[in-house]
Amino acid sequence: MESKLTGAEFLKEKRLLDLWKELIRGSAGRTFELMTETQLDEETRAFVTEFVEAIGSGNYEDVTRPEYENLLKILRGVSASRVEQGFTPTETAAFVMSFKEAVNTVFEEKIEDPVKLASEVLVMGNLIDKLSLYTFETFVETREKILKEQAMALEFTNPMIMVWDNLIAFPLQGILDTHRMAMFTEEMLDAITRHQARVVIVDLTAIAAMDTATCNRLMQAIEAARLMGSEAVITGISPAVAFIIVKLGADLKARTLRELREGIKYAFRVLGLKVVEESS
Amino acid sequence: MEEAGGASILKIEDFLIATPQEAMHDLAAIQFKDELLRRLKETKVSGLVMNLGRIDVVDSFMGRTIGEIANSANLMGVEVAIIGLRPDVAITMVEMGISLGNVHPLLNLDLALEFLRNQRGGA
Amino acid sequence: MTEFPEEGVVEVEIREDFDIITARARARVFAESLGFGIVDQTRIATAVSEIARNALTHGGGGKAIIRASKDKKGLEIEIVDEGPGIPNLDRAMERGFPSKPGGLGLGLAGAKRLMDEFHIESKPGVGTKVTMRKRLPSRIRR
Repeated sequence: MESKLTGAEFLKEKRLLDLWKELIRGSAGRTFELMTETQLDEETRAFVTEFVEAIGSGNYEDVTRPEYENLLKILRGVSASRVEQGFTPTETAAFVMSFKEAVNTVFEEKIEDPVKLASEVLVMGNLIDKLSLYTFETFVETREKILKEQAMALEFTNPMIMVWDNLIAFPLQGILDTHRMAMFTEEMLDAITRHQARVVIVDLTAIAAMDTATCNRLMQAIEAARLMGSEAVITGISPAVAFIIVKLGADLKARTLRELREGIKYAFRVLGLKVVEESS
Repeated sequence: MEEAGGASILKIEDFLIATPQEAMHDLAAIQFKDELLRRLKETKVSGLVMNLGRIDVVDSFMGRTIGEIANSANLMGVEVAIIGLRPDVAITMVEMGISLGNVHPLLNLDLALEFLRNQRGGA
Repeated sequence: MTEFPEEGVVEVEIREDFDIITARARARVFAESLGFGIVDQTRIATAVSEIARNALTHGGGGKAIIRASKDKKGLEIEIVDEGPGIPNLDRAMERGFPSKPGGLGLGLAGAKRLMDEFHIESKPGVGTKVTMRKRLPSRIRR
């Protein structure tokens, strides 16, 4: 542990904050136009406050210690907002890197003793580099997490086709697990009520596989639809899915047909509809 | 139209349409059943539609009661259709494993009446 | 109707028929106030209906206690009675346990399927306590 940093005093002055903000504005590209003055103000102010607090403990080395927790929290917030606003990782790192530059400048201005200056700049530099690295890592992690969530969310929507009066179809896609099947069941039953669908076609052509628990949920969905007076027709069962159903010894209790088109033809018969060619 | 244990019973054509209003406690459910069966016998109708649209919970007791209504009605030569089951109730019933017995679920009143007419006129 | 804040606990005495309706209606409202969707509300209300009825018809009456779970991420319901207890608890829990109409089997097994956690303690001659919990679904985004 080093002796008390003399330069620490100067960090509390307004000069540091102003200098830093100037550097940020001057640095990375046009994306900084996305940030409001208020946001910049708040972030830099909060950071400096917590930074001064943290180094006040005398620990200039280990950012994993509790005294740095508040500061790290702020950096996580900064990272998260940069992800949302579409900044690049480098632009995000610029936030902390320009702080280092600002600190160096202030130290140079205020610390007279060249030996002290050199050592304190070094200590601060190492510390701020660690914080910079932390910001970068958090940014990357957060961005990956959000991209994954967005992909998952897309997989959760179950688009419905209003095929005809009283006839709806759900071509399911992606990975079907019990959670998704439960959500689909609710959507399907609500759609049955809304559209007074006497027949619901559930097309599994794009579903590669299903586990037994999900298969059970599918059977429950079919039965719930039946209790509401709607007939579920399952189309496009792949060999892999068929295997699971057979292995379960399950009786889907629904008409199963090869593809969506056959399902529609069947539904038309049930509804008493006929497709007739226009005579020329 | 008659009230019975918190339900309305209408006669349309050759059928009765019974609509329980909201949650019936056990005693009311039994009174409903007794009254309904009495009316079925009295009116000699060929079909019954039970509209479950106002029921927010079907537990094993209610399931059993509906099943008993259906069984007794069948013995009297009356076919039973049900309409209006709410999605959340349908899902819950299926997850619980509750069966309603020999009832024919239809999507709405029109389809239920059409079904009952076919049952009566048919075969 | 009283408000059911997250912090509160709701108790319903189960002494007669109509109390079963009250217990499940309150459970539904409480669940809604915690943020449960309509299907979960119905699952919870139905489970309460089953167990409360058992407490009444087999336990001679009892009490239902509804509260938010300790971590505030779900619901906890306790239904107790001081009745004769349930002999052969394992058999009673089996789905489709053949029993006279109004028997216990379907109710217990069914309620268990609707909830995330289900514990039952029963001592012959002392009484029965059923504790059930349901978790709020975790949010996928936002």
